Amino acid sequence: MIVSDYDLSHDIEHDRLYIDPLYDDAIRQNGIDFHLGDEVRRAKEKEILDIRSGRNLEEWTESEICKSFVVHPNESLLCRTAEYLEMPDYIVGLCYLRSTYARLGIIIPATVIDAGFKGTLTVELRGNPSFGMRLYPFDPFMHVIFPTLDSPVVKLYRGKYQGQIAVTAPRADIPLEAV
Amino acid sequence: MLSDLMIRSYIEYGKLGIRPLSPETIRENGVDLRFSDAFQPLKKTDAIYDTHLPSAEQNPLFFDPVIHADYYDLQPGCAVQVATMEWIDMPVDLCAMINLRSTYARLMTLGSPTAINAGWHGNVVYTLQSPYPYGVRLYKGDRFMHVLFDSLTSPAEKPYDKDGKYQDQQGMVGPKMDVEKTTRRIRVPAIPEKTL
Repeated sequence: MIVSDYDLSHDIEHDRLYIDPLYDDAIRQNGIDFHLGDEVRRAKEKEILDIRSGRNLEEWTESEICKSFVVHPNESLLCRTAEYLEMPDYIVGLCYLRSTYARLGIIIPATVIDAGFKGTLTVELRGNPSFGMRLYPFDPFMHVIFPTLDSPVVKLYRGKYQGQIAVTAPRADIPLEAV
Repeated sequence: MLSDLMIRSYIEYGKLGIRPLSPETIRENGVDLRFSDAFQPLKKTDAIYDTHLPSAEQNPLFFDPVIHADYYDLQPGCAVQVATMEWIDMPVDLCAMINLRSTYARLMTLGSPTAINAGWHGNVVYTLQSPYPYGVRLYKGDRFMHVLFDSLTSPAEKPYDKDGKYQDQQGMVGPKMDVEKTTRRIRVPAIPEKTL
């Protein structure tokens, strides 16, 4: 089951699901529209990114705070949502690009928000192969739907991206026995 | 997630509309949609599409005119906007999730996963790209998109309605930007005590 607009409003009102800021028309029929943040991160080196190298991958990418940005043909970049989100233990989030951007040939890969996650979302945006596009922070670009889980999660998300605010470069996995 | 049995009953009772419907397109846990005869290529250009400028003026500069044909050759490194031959009538208590069928993913074409909201009606419009060094021939009537349906926890309070910019879209409809969006009001919820 997917949480309806009515139940999303109710959950937000009762602080089960926390979204800040919450735009007035963000709650849609069966999900919530998320807006672009004002930061993008692009790869600046063309070598192979090795998440096990021990090097801080933030150095391999370059962050830019912007009033608008261009996604060039065939380019992939990382962006973030303007919203800070706290997920409860009984739903999961599935991210879908809004139709207007999908028509322009933009792609975001299948992205899942785990139960218990806190932070802004870092999302990969891929341009189309034909032309560049100028995008603006605070425009709604992504629709997140929230399917319910069969039972509340026993072990909530405590991963390496917990609490992230800025666009976050990939990080090496924490060894499982240390979690 | 709706099974084939549930999808069939939604259709039989007239709650979910898929027209034309050929019974073999109802799969185990979803419905396959087919290419219509309309294809609209994205133009190769150095110009930048500005999402804050009116789309009616920009779309002709970035999209070629719609081609009606039995097939379309998606050239390497190109993208094309396509529409489904099926018309979808979404009930107020279902949400749908669109994915590219595995065959087209194996052909290395890309398209973004998107959702269809409760209460929406129209032909589905989708953009496919083939960023790799070979092209793919797309045939009218071939199944290329798989749609999953899931029920909502309650019927949508505000279903997608006439105010929605893509409501009742017929055939190929390009992107429509909301230009008034800069004036959107923001409501900041009170910070719950549990935060961090």
